[in-house]
Amino acid sequence: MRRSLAAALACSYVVLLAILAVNAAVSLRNASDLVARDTAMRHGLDVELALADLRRSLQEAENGWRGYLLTGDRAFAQPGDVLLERAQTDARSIRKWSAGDPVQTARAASLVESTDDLVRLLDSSLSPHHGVAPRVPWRRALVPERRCEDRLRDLSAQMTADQERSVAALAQAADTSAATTRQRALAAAWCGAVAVTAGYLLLRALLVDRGRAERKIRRLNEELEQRVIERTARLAAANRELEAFSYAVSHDLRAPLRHIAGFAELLKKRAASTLDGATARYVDNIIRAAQHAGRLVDDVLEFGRLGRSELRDAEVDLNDVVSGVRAQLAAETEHRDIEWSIARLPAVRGDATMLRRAWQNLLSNAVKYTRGREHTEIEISCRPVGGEMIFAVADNGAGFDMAYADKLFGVFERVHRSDEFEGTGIGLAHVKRIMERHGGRVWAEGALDRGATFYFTLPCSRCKEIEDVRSAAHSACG
Amino acid sequence: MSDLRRILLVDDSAQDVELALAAFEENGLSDRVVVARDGQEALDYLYRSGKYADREEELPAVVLLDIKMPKIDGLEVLRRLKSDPDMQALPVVMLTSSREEVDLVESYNTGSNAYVVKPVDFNEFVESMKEIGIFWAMVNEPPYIQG
Repeated sequence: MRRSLAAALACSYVVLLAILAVNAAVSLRNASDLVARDTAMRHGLDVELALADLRRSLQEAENGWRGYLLTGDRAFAQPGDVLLERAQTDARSIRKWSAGDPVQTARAASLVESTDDLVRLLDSSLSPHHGVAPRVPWRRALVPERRCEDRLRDLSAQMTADQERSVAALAQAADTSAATTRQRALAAAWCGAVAVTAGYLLLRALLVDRGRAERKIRRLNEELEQRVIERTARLAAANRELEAFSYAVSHDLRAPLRHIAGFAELLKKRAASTLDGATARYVDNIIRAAQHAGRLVDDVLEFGRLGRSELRDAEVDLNDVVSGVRAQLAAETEHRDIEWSIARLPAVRGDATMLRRAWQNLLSNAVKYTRGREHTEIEISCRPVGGEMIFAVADNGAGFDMAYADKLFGVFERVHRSDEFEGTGIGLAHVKRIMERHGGRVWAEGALDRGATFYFTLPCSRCKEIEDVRSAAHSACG
Repeated sequence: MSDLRRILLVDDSAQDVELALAAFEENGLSDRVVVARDGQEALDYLYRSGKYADREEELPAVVLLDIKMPKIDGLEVLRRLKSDPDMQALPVVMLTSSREEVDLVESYNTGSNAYVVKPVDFNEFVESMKEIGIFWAMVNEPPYIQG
């Protein structure tokens, strides 16, 4: 709808411009026509005047000659010379002014010729031979002259008549031209008015349309904002519910588990003597189950908390973190033969608690799953690749079947039986979440009974350069 | 001084009380323990009101305070004690199931001396109670409170 309005508006403007252009062109042409006509008329009038002047000159000259012929007195002839000169000049002027009209031009040429002839004839006939006037009876005299005069008179008459006619025609043309011009001007004004009005109406329609569209957009925006507010409120409410849930779980779910574990222990202690192998095992199972449930609760709570919490960025020296975690694992590693190969790690920008948790999970896993080995090797390394720093924790432990590689990082997913290796199946899910929160990724490689390597990345933007990998970092992390 | 320094255990759960007493018993601390079953009883004991109007012994060396209790909960008891100039020096250790940050922050901000999360593993719990009991009732010098 809007597009056709815009197109129509453009059209009306084009039409208007066209009208104005045409009008201008026509007006200009009319003006130049007018000027030309005016000039022509003026010339025409000049020609008429000149012709009249010519006739008069000839007439007066003739009178002069007659007198001269009758009296022989040169004094009568003299003015005639001047007049003839004037006549010649007039003739030439007439020729000049008749330039526009070929017929008139031809006649004017004859006029000039005849005038010149007359002058010549008169000159030769009437010029005195040594101051003595020729005694010529004037009726018989000057026949060629008279013929010339007649010719001149005819030409003059024709030219005058023509001139009058053409002047009249010009005047007529001027009138019609004026009328046409007036009509055209009126028509142009009309069309212009129509085009402008059309343009105005279209423009208004366009603006109304635009106004409607803007209101629509504003309304949609408001609706959207409202929806966003509602959704945010709903999310906030959901979050609060989760927090409340987590709080309740924290208190109310742990207590019974503690009671189960606690009383089972007390039972074991109290009835130690009366418990046979199987019964003692039952009690142990109760205790273990309760403790496992407790760990599950802890893990689930922490997982939930992690999801909701903000990342608190700080500068974390991963070397310190790893040392700290190793110290924490001291109880388990004390009596074991573990060879640690730990590369110098960079300091990174990230949430200290979360990163510590991640390393805790990775290293305790490494320690746990290498329990069956006499000599355990755990290697921690890092190298920059592309825009990331890739960290690796490699162990020579029980490994895993690569077919289940993608299950490893799932929540509560395990690829080992609980009697082989205890665990809640949330440790690696934690690591994945933590690294993803920091902008990294995780993956693992391994083979059954041939150890496993767990990789995670952190974007180079979070890592600070360290001496050992500086040159490598320069080339890759830039 | 010869007067046995006591431990006031405040917890509404009978099982938790029993487990705690068993834990203290393993460490020979059980005769120091006085049990209050909710916040009101705890305050009654400390202020010598209600059924403890005739409390003879000194104020306890430490109060082990559970958080989630009916009527007056642990945090409220803590608030009242710490806002009372006469009682605010009394050592209070929050002893609770939860490690929720909101509880942790609130407790410390109100002035608790420590915050201990009861572990699921009973042996660990026994160990904790031993350490806490010995520290507060024997090692630590209690503040002088006219009580």
